[in-house]
Amino acid sequence: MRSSDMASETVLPAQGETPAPAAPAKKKWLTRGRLRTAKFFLFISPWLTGLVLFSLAPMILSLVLSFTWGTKIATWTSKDLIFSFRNYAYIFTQDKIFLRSILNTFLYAFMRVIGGLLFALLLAVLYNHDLFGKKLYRTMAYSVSLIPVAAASSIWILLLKGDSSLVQRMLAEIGIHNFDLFSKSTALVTVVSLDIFCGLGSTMIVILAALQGVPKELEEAAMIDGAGRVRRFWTITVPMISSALMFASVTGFIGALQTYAKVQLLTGGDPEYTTMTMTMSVLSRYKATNGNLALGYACAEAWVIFVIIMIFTLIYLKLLNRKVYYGDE
Amino acid sequence: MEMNENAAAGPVQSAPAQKDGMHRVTPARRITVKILLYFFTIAISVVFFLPFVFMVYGSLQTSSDTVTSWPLTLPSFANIGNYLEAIKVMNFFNALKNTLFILCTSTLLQVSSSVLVAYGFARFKNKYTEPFFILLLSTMMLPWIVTMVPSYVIYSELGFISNPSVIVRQLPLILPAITGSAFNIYMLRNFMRGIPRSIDEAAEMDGCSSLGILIRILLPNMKPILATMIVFAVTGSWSDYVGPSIYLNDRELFTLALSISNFSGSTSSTEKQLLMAGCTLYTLPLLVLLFSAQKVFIKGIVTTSIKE
Repeated sequence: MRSSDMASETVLPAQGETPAPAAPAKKKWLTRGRLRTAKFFLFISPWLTGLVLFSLAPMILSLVLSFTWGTKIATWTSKDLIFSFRNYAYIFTQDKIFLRSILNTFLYAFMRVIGGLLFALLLAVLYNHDLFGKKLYRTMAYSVSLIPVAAASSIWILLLKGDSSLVQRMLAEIGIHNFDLFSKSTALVTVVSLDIFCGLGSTMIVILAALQGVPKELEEAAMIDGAGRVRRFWTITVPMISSALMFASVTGFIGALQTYAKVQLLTGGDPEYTTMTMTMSVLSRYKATNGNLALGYACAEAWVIFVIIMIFTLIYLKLLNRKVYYGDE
Repeated sequence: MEMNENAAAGPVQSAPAQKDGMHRVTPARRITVKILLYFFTIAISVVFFLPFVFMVYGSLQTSSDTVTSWPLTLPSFANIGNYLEAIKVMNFFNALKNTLFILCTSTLLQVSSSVLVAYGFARFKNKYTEPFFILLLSTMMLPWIVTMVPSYVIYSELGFISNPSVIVRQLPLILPAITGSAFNIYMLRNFMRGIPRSIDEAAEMDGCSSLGILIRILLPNMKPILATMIVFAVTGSWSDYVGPSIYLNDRELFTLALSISNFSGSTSSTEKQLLMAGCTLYTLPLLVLLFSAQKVFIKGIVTTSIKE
């Protein structure tokens, strides 16, 4: 890791600097600039320590482990430490569940981002009107995103999942049977829809704020030129708020690629792994054997996810950056 | 906040009014449009609120089956005892204690650490500032899964997971907060750079230490942004499921999220009215927080979402 080298190299001199205000050499050695550097490292040290201990060290360990076959470190023998690409080879050639989960995750992320932004945009346009009690309506729309995932999934299950759920019974009453929202073909869409529904309120508020920044003169000029309302919306409003949309879509995309709790609690990956996401696949493998299973393998999977997320985030940023208006620069 | 007040002047809104002037639109049509707008806005807002309504409705049912039966059964306050029952079944107060302990310690650690680090980045510029800041920003993209598995192994090998002390077993959920939140650091740094340096230089002349400048001069100016960060850290920790589900296997250590999900998934014959009562108790504090600190939330979502 390049970043870790950077961290360790640069921290050391700083630590040496702080406790050494040698009295005679003080004027020469402890210059204002050096003191400033020392203070800089002193103040950022909580972050730096945390980064090294809780991010970089585990990551490097995970990378090393991913090339080994070991289970629990305590029970390792020397032969567990043999360097091999077996884990990675297995992932890409044999592990159908994991490959399936990668596909699921990308489907999930694209649906989540596109659906989420589109509906939030429509909702923002509606909520942007000056109505009596608009603050209340906005807070209501946002409130659903605050329901903790454990409670939300319980509610959705009682409402939608299985024959004894409220909606299924309601449908049965009016003669619709066998309409399963959690079947092999529908489960993923259902899960994404529920996630979009819960997140709409907060995305909408972001878009509403961005809408305030669109200069009215532009709208008026276009109106005088005879542009209709829909056309004005797509050719002026949307491009003007594109930086907010872009930010929402990037963070949404990165978040969606790591979806775990929402789906885990609703479906647990069922039916037949159609809703298994990448992170679920790693953790289910890990938990199923109580931490005893191929640890190296789980680490290899995690690293594959890491690399995939990095690559796609960078591509995503590159593609979107071209079409975004960041204001006058 | 400003945003709410100014919403009236929003472009999309102002358009119809002006368009009305150009085209021949009768007052009758204008009123119809207004009524339709109210209808749709209120209808959609109600739909968003339905999960809460269902939760409370379900928690006040007599039996498990009537929670999901159709046609609906009128809930009755006579069933308020469901809440007491749920508290007992889920060991609610123990879970609340665990949740609050993790929440308070990790929030305190995360926010104070973020403030210190942001101060370092904002006020002590040197040749290392830039590369470290880029490193900070890039950690925002780091997926939690790469560190989660090996972290579990490390804690397990160090004896945290099976330690007899309850607090030690909770540490894996608290310690990483010392890193702060990259996003909060970024926001705080920008905010601090917006405060004129001349104020801290004057204080420095008067012999105020660097930490003193942060605490006495910068922090009092940052109450709103700190409130936002605390509120988001609190809601995040209160709702967190992934972390606790990995590190806390023991019922005695369960947080509220784990109690609920454990009760929900324990058997198919879960008493649904109790589950809904538990969910209501679990969700209500957040809802109260939202409605009492609306401004903080709404402003927070906006400031944390738009890069400037």
